Order: sequence, then structure tokens, then C-alpha cells
Amino acid sequence: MDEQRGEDEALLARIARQDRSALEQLYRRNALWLTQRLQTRCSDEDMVDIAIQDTFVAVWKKPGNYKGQGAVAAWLWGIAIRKLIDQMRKTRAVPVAPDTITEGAVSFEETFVSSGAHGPLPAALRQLEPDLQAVMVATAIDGLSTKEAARLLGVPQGTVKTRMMRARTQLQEILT
Amino acid sequence: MTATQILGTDLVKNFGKRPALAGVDLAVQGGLIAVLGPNGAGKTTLLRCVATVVRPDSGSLLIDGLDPAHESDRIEVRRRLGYQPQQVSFALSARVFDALDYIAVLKNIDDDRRRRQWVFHVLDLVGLRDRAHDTVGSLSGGMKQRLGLAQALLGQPSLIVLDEPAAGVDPDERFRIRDLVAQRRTEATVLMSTHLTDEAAVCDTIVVLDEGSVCFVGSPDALARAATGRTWVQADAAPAWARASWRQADGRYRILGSEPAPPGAELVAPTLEDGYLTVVGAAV
Amino acid sequence: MSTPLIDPARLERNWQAITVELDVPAASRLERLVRRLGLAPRLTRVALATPGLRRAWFVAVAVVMFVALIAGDTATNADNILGFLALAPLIPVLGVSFAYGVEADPSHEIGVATPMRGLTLVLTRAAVILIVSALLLTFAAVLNPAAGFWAVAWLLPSFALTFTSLAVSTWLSPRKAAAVTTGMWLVFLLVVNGAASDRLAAFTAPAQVLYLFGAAAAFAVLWQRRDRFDLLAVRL
Repeated sequence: MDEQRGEDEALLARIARQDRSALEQLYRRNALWLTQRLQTRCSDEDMVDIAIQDTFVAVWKKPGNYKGQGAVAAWLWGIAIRKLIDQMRKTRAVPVAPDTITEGAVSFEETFVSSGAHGPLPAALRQLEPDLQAVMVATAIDGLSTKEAARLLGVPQGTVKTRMMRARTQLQEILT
Repeated sequence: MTATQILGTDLVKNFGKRPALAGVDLAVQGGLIAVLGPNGAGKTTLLRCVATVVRPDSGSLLIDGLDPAHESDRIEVRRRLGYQPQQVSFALSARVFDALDYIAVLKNIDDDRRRRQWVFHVLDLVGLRDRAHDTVGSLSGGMKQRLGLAQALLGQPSLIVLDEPAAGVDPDERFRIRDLVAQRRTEATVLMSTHLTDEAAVCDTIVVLDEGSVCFVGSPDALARAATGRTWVQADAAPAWARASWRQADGRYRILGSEPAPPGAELVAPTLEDGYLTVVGAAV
Repeated sequence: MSTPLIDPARLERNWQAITVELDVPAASRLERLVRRLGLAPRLTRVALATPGLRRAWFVAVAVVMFVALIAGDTATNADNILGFLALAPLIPVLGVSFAYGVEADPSHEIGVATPMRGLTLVLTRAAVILIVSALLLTFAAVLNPAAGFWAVAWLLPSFALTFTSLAVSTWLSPRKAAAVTTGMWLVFLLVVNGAASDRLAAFTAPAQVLYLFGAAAAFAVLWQRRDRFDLLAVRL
């Protein structure tokens, strides 16, 4: 993982010098998992594609926004999920049903990203009600604000907040 | 994709008293179709009718069964059409990208991102992507012709109408444009006008137009065969009855005509050019 | 349904799309300005595609703005005001005549062969020209300390004349149509001035109603003959 991270950082340094081939390499290394993961958040392929495109255009324009905190992959994901939300806001898309999101997302986290880092969290998450799972994925795993999560899930902000509280209570019961 | 069918019956178009089309019958479908004829034969007018920008005075024209005389049909034809007029022109001060983007707007490619993709796609096709930021005025003549072709390809048309797409450019550009046009034959019906037999030779179908009428429709081979038995080569200059004759590179004279063999003349296999001159009956 | 399958061709298409986004040239300053007014990029293209609004038009605008600035109040300077009111409605007529057709638009023939309706194109450009004219001239007139009703009295006539000119252009070329319309307007003003004692009779309330009807009638003719904008006017 560390090696991968070092390579991504080196690519970002070259992108800062307007090296188009470095952007292409960064894309080739990260496009597949980003696309897969975005697709679990939104079933519309066109919107995911646009979000992916916007993500790498943003990286090209402002590679300096990566401040070296955390993995480049996590930084990319933060951009990508917000670009997806921008798309959803523009087109007022119907969000994916909560259980589709969480099924894909949780299994995805297990396979590709968390790999132990989150401990038993994904398994615990899966025991939540689907609505609550979706909220937890959006906030805890995607790192979105309640406002952003509300857009992604197509529910009011207040609903996100109450679901987060309910999820917290349930998780405490499950984990203790 | 089914190939677009063009069906013209007794098309007449007059400009003042001068007939540009004097009863054209045309039935073609698919592939690369050349409209071949001398200057002033009515090629441009015929292409403009097919491109729906000029309405024939009489006769019927159907494109895939759609009649451009009716507004809704005309718009439907235009959705499927790519058209490069003879005078390809863009404002010289416009940037290449902007010129194409404007045409893409007119072609109803409304989404901004999709339009940008299309513009760069056709620029890639004609090899002008690296000139996207330059002004149209900075392009060479051949590049301008390629730009004219590029705009015709926006939006994946199934009918492409090109009026002399390689007119007035250097030979290397002419071959390049000819190749680009020929590549389109698999995805669209391409109707292209030319006054050069070597350009028509690479087409699937040749329509020979002379003085506003169609005098031949068929394959390049069939057009050459029109001069079978009428093409001679001899040492002396042409006799009076010759339809056409000219001095070849080897110093002998090539003669087209239907009279009995002139003494000492050798009957030769006709070329496309012989066939063309035979059907239009042009005197040289 | 763990992780969705992604077609490698889709990833490739997205990379190509990214390179396009990076290669697209930035919009020109004028275009950015117009977009900031809220016009969609594609309509901005349509509005600005013809280099139509040329020097001649800007010179005309400047002259009429000047007339608006020096015109005094109605009591003492009826002539100046009449001059402004006579000229101002011709500004959009002139602008529109530069904005479409074979003479003004190098890509005219290509445009005719597209599904975009000719009338839509013409009206989009006419709208931009009318709005710009109205803003500039009213601004100049209002700057005049003696601004009165006349600062806006030219607006309805300008609508009527612009639509008349467009309607006439279904028979004649846009520039000839503008010339004919200008002639008709000047003759009309002379006749009204000869008949009425009020120098500004042609701009009173009853006359304004007339212009409103005139604009509507001209638009009706334009609509009836909109097909003409969808064909090439070939004169050999």
C-alpha cells in the first residue's frame, strides 16, 4: 500500500508540472476502482462517467490541493464523490435504493479499501437496517457532510441526522 | 445501419430561364456515390436539392421515403444529414474549435460536454485536433477543406453530401481527403460531386450528369465499358468523326468514336475516362 | 452484486473525454460576458456566431447615443428629440441586417442544412440585438438631464421596424430589406409631420398602439413565411 501511495504522489508532482502522461498514469491506476465505487452510489452510468471526468480534470487543474494527508486514493475519492453529488444535484436524479448502495459499498470496502483498517465495522454495518446502512456509508465511509449525504441519498438533511443517531444507537448495541 | 436511399424523379430546377436540372431521375442507396460531370452540369444544384437547402421546381425527391418539401420531413432528413457545400467557409477570425462547436449547436447537440466530445472526435478524424485553438484563417486550403468535411461528420450522419470536397487543394491533400471520404462509406450513404474521373474511380457508384440530366448510372467498370469498341489509338491526329481525341504521352493519338475502325488504328481497352467522355459526348 | 463490472472500453472513453476537457480552448471574453448574463453556452454560440455586429453597427450606436445625450427637453429641442426618435428604432434594424443570411454568415449554407430552424436562429440574434440596443440607447437617453417620455418612446417603433425588416427579408436579402424598411419609416415620419402640428405626433400614445399592432402584424407575416429561412436563397 505504501509503495502504491508513493507512486501516486510522484505522479501528482509530475502533474503539477503539466505532465499529461502522468495524469494518464494516475487515471489508469485509479479509474477502475473509482468507477466501480461510484457506480455503487449511483446507478446512472452517464453521471458516474461525468463525475470521473470532472475528477481528473480537477486533479489536472489543482494537483496542489493534495496536501499529503492520507492516501492519494482517499483524496481522489473525496473529489469523485462530490463531483457525483454535483451531477445528481444538477439532474435531480433518482438515487439508488439504499440496500443497493450498502450491499455494493460494504462488500466493496471489504474487498478493496478497508482490508482490516476498519476492524469489524463493515460486518456490524451490515446488520443495520438498509436506510441506516446507507447513511453510515455516506457519512462514515465516504466522509460526506450531512448536507452532501442528503443530496446523495435524495432525502432531507433532517432525515440524515435522525438516521445517523438511530444508527449510532443500534451500532452500540451490536458492538457491545 | 440501413443505408439511406435517395430517390429523385424528374427533378427540374431553373434559375431564371437557365435550367440547372432538366428532369433528373436518380435512385441510389448506400456506399460511396460520385456525381461526375463537367462544370455547369448541375452537380451543385442536384446536391443542394438532396441536402434540402434548395427545393426543386418540379419533380419528386424522397430521402428514405421522406419528402423535404414538408417541414417535418425536411427537419428529419436534416437530423440524418451531413453537408459540405462547395464554398466551405467559416469566419476566418473564428477559432477552429468555435467554428465546429457552432455547427454542432445547429445540429442539435445540445449538451455542452457531448458537443465538445463530438467536435474533438471529428477533429481527430480529419487530423486537425492540434489546430483546435488556431483561427480558421491560419489553416491551409487543404486543411480548410478537411475542416469542412469535419463539420459534415458531426452527429454521425447517415447521409453525407459533399460538394467537391477536394477541389483546389494540393495532390497530397487530395489523396488524404479522398481517403477520409472513402472511410465513411461503411457507416453512411456518401454522395460526392467531382469533375475528376480519378476521384470517381474509387466510388461504388457513378452518376454522370451533363447539362442537367443524368446520362449514366453504374459502377466505374460499367462506365469504362461504355467506350468498349469505340476507343482507338493511332499515329495520326484525329479524323473528323471522332467524338473526342487527344495526344497521349507516347505521342500517339487516342480517339473515341463509333464509326468503323479507321485504317491503321488499334482498338484498345477503354479506361474510365474514355467511358465518361463517351457518355457525355464532350468534344476536346 | 458485489462490485459492478466495468467495461474497459468505458474507461478508455472516459480517458478520451478527459483529454477533450483539457484541450477545449477557453471561451472568449465576449462569450464569458454574455454567459454571465445567464445565456446558455449554446445560445451564446448562436448569438455571437456571425461576426455580424460590425463596426458599422457600433458607429451607428455611438452616433445615436450622442444624439440622445445632446437632445434637450421637448419644449426647446423638439428637433433634436425627433432626430433621436427617428434614428434610434433603426439601430436594431441595422444590427439585425448584419446578423444573418448569405452576406453576413459565412457558414450560412451549412446552417440551412441543419435541423435548427432558420427562424429560431434569426429571432435569437434579433433578440440579443434588440436587448443590447435598448440597454445602450435608453442608458444614454436617461443620462440626459432633460430625459422625458422620449427616452423610451422609440422602443415600440424599434420592435415594429425590426419585425417588418425581418418579414421583408423573406422576399429580399436582409440588407435590402433593412434599406426598404428604413425608407418606409422615413417616409412615414415625413407624412405624419406634414399632417400633424405636433412635431412628435408620431410618438404619442395612439401612435404607440399603432406600432404595437404593426409589430404583431409583421410577426404574423414572418411566421407565415418562416420556411424562407430554411432554404438557401440562390440567385444565379
